[in-house]
Amino acid sequence: MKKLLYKEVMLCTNIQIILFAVFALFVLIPSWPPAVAFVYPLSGLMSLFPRGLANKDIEYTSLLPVRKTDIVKGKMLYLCLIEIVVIILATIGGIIRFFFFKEPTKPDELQYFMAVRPSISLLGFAFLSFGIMNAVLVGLYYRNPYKRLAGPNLISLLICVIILAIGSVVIAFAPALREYDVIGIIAQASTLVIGAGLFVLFSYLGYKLGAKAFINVDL
Amino acid sequence: MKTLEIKNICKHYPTFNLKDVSFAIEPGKIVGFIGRNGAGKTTTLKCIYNLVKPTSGEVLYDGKSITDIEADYKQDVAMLIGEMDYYNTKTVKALTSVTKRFYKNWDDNKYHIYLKEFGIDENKQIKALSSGMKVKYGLALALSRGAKILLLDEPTSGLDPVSRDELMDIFIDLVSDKEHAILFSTHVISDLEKCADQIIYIKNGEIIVNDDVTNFEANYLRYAGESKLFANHKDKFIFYRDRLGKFEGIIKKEFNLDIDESKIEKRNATMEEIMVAFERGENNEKVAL
Repeated sequence: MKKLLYKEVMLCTNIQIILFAVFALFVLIPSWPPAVAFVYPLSGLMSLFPRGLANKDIEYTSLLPVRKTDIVKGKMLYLCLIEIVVIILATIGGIIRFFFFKEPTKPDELQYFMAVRPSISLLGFAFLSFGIMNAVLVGLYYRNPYKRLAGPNLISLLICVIILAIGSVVIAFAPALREYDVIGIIAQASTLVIGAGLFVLFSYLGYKLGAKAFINVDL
Repeated sequence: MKTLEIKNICKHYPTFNLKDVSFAIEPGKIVGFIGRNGAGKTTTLKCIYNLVKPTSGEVLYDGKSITDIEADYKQDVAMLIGEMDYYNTKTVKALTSVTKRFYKNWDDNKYHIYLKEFGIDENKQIKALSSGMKVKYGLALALSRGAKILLLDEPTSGLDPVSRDELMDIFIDLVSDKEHAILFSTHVISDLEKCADQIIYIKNGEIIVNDDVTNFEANYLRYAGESKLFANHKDKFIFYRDRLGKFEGIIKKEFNLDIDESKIEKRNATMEEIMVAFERGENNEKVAL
């Protein structure tokens, strides 16, 4: 599987994916909703399958000594890798913003909603949104990888944005998910762990759905 | 070497059916896979490499279903479909460096010998290679990975006659150790005449000939001469052309024509003549102009 991941990194990574992944550092911008930092990188990921189609990625990979289902697994692992990089970049940006940038000391809830401070719980929601996006994108795409591009991309993007928006609202209205007292830290750490767990679960589900459909696809 | 067996493969499409395709690839043989465009050659090859899922039937390698041993099977069996035109903006070097990691028996030395022999510049982008060069690059990869069986779909298309001839010599060398085998589809029948040991002929999704090349060619005769000499025998020919008093036709050897042989031209039919006769004859396209 390492070889497939290496192949994805070396042959499928394009400047759009890298550039938009770095946009995760937008979390540094004061008074900006940090959830937006997780939306920009999706633009890069959305280029993955159309570019793959143009480069005959599936045709090339299917000639390699791998199982047909491994083709889906390799792509899913690559998506997860990019998303984890995005979350790491956003975490670094969030830590810098938290410690070094001045923000309103007691913003009201509306301000929280519009420009909530970076919180650990937001990372949990980011994980969840990425996981569901993976499940929808890969699960739908591999049903018909030669035709289905716009549908899986748009649907998964929309779902991801909706979950991030819901997460931001929940954080804005639930102080425990944004305050750094003992209860807050426990609540936020729990959200992160649950989010990361669901990320793994949904990504695995997406791989299974994609692989099940792809095995019947004639290349 | 392990044997590759194709057993009763059927594949149904709305407009085309592959019907009960069965044959085996044995070590030390070059097998030519011939048939018209759309006859089912590529579909069959794709079924053999698990790129297309057959509606029924199975492909066995060393007695095991290839779907159960897919990754190991693909280490031993290489497939090349037309040109190597993947990731066009990458260089040859970059694509090879990724590709070779997947093969346990990759031979870097052999790869560079082939690159030199084929005149391929490793630093060129894939898109900068000509069609012929892309085919050669794909062949260099297939030949360097240590595969025991090569499945090649139209490997000589786009190659100049000299390169085709060189390639046939490479094929002959490769199978001479009796450990390798090659199955290749082609329209260039003259290539098969140079190197194939066995012919598999597919027509409308059905295998109609699976024979030794010498047997195959020895079974058909080509007659030519004045039309009036063949007037009572035309129905015995698979295919004939009768034009301006000149007759030429292909017939099975078993038919004995009661014609004075000093007045006609008679010889074994070439593979190409037999193929044309098979394709045009059944549709009663016996040309009488």
